[in-house]
Parts: sequence; C-alpha cells; structure tokens
Amino acid sequence: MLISFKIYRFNIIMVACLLTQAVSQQSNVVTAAVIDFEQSGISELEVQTLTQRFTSELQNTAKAILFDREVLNSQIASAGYTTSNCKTPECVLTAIGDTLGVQYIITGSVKKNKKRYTLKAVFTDVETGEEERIIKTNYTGPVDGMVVELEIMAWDIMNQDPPELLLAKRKGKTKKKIRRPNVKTSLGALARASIVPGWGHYYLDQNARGLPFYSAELVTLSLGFIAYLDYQRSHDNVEKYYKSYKLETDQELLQYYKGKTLSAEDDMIRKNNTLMTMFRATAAIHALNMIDAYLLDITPEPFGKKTKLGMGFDPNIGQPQLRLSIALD
Amino acid sequence: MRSINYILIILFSFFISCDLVDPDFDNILDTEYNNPPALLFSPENYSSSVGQEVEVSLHALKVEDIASMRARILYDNSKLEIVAVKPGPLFNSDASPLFVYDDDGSGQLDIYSVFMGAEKKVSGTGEIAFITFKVNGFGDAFLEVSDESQLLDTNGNEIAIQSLGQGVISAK
Repeated sequence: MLISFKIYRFNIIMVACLLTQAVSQQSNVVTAAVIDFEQSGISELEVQTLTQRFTSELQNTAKAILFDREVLNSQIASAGYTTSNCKTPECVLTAIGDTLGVQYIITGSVKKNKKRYTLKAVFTDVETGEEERIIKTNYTGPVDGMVVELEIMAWDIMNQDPPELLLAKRKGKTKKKIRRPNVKTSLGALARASIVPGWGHYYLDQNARGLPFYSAELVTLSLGFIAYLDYQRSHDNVEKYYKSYKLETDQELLQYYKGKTLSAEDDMIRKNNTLMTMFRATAAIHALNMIDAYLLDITPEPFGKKTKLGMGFDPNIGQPQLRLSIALD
Repeated sequence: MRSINYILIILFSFFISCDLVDPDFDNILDTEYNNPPALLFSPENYSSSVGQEVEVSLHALKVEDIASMRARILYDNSKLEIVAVKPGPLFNSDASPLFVYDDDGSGQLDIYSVFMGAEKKVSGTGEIAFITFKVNGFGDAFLEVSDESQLLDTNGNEIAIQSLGQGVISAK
C-alpha cells in the first residue's frame, strides 16, 4: 500500500514536471531563481527589498516561473554558504548546482555612490554556467527613479519590451548597456574568419563547411611558400651571375654569365608569377571564407541537445526527484 | 569600419609581388652594348684621391686583323698628369710590336702600336695599353678616346672604329 502510494506520488511529480517543462518551452517561459543582489552603498535590507521589487516585476513579464526564494536560500545555507556572501553566479552554481531544476539563475548588484546608482542583472544558464544576458544601467537621480529602472531591467533581462506605463515613470539620467556574451553573430563569425580561415565556420558549429577553406588556404599558402623559396633562389642567381657579368673582361665568360643571368631572370619571373598566383588564390579563398562565414545562418542548437534526464531534490517534500527536460524549439 | 580594413588588406594581397631584378647588360666589353670594333676604357669609372696614381685600362673590342693602331686619348690635364704608359697583352704577342706614346702635357695622349712586318696582325678583344695617371685636382676628370684614333690592317687600310670609350676618374 505504502509502495503504491509512493509510486503514485512519483508519477504525479513526473507528470507535473513534464507538463511544466512542456508548457514553459512552448510559450518561451523559463524557470529561474532570483538571488539576492549584491550591494554597495546601501544596506542588506534595502537590497533585499530592491531584489523583491525586481522579482515582482519579473513575474509581471509572465516569461519566468520563479523558484521560491525561501527554499533557494535554505539550499544555499545547507550547502555551507551564507546567503549574504553567496551572490555571484559562480558561488550560487557551486552551492546548489542544478539540483533545483531551474534553467536559469538571475544575479545582480545595486551600487550607490551619492546620487548615482549602478544596477546590474546577469541571466546565467544553470546547465552551462554561461552568462546569457547582462544588463547594466547607470542611473543618476532620485531613488524612486532607480526603482523604476530596476523594474525596467526585469523586462530587459527577459528580453521583453517594458510597458509604456512603466517607461513613463522614468526619471533622472539613464545609460543602459545590454550584452549577450554567448550569442553568436555574423560579425563575430566574420571577424574570426578574417583571422583564420574556417574559424568563423567553427564558431558557428559548421566545421565540415569550414574545413575545405582551411585546407585550401593551407595548400595555396604552402605552394606559395615553395614558390617563394624558388623565387629567392633564382633572385640570388640573377644577382650572382649579373655581378660576374659586370666584372668579366673575357669575351667568352662574359657571354656565358650573360646567358646565365638571362636564364636565372626568366626563372625568377616565372617563380614570381607562380608566387603571385598562389597569393591571389589564397586571398580569394580567404575572401570567400569570410563572405561564407558572414552569410551563414546562425543555427539554433539542434533538437534534443537540451534534452536532459537527471536527479534533483525537492526540499518541500524532502524527497529526491527524477527530472526530465525536453527542448521543444 | 573594421570590415573595410580587412577587405582592403585582402585586396592588397592581389597586387602583392616580390622585388624583381632587372639586369642592365651594360658591360663595356659586351658586343651587344658597344658595337665592335671599338676602343674602350674598362672599367669606365675610377675613384682616387688627390696625389695618388690610377691605372686605366684601354681595351680593343673585337678587332680583326689589325697590324697597327693609333689611340688618341683626350684627358683633363688640369686634374690629371700622365705618369706611365705600358703595352697591354693584346699587342704584346710573340712578335712584339713597336710601342710608343706621345704626351705633351696638353691633355692629348697618342699611343702607337705597330707590327714590324707585313704578315703580323692581331684579332680579338683585349687590353692594348695601361695608362697610369697622377691625380692633381679634386672632382671628376673625364677621359675619352678621340675619333681621330685609327686601326689599320696589313695593307694600311683604315678599319672604321664603331665605338669610342669614355671614362671618369673621381678624386676626393
């Protein structure tokens, strides 16, 4: 009886997990945990309040299912850390890893210097540990304006346009910077392809397409280098024989050195032409490689890559959890 | 902007080329540079210092059946002074010719080389005389083979000289 109840409860949890995951993937809703922001120039209590305002606004975006903060803090504490000292993505991931089953953690900081506030929010992928989005806002003005900026950041971090009503509340001077460090761009591919052929393709996970460019350029460069060595040898011969020709007074030897000089000169011109052809070919391949890397579609991660089966621990029920996540994009 | 720089660098490589030597076949004794027969100085340029002596070689280029010769050399007597004139190997064969020179210090040197006997003659290219000058003044002192120079065959017929040499002694 007891066993069948446990199986029943396990099935319920599994179905709930799967449904939550499926619903969240289909509507681009993610599961996230907000960590209390770091602070400087304000008190711990103030930053907790500000984090709460940020979290509330995050819920308004309807793009994130937020993990319970009490449970989160107890998890961090049970890992041997204090919540006030473990606020960076690195520390949080070390403390709790992906045991909570959330896809992302949101960390941040609020720094105050006189009337100037520096606000930062970081959206980190729990599985990879990579920072997906970083929002940094410099704000100068009254404190209520800073709270508005924090709320706007909640929308920005979810890649959503803030509501007009919220934007209308803005005060003071604001300077905002949004970075997406791990988003692959065509310009990033172009820059890499311009340095090493095929690197742009490699960057976009198109190794098979980049390899021919790399190989072809390597071959033309090698042939060019061989042609250069030949050219160098011919060039030295021209100089050597020409010097002998200039100094020679014997008619026969003079004509001999003249013939040798002419022959070496022909050879030098031929090798130089080969050298130029090879460098042109290299340049053409390099240009093609850059254009191709730039025009490549930025492909999303392949289906199934995000599919994951793992174990977790649910502190609410005090039991381990079997977790399955499937990427539906 | 950065992309444009990259494109320019790549385009530049289309025009890249190595340094090519373009030899000028201007050896004074090259028959394609100076028409034979010729009387020439080789080398053409000399460097020296005031008070020093310089030996200049006078060459005959591709002469045929020459029995006698008069080479008239014009030189800058304000800077140069004749010290010695010696016969070169071309005329200094087994049948040594009569070799004399005449220099009155006026800037005109006549060198005569004459075979004694009707059958004696020389052909080819070689040095006909070595003229030693003493340098008395700074700057460039020019030498030239005058068009009054003569080459004669065994019958006393004049052979036209196609090229006449010039030379410079630069004194520091």
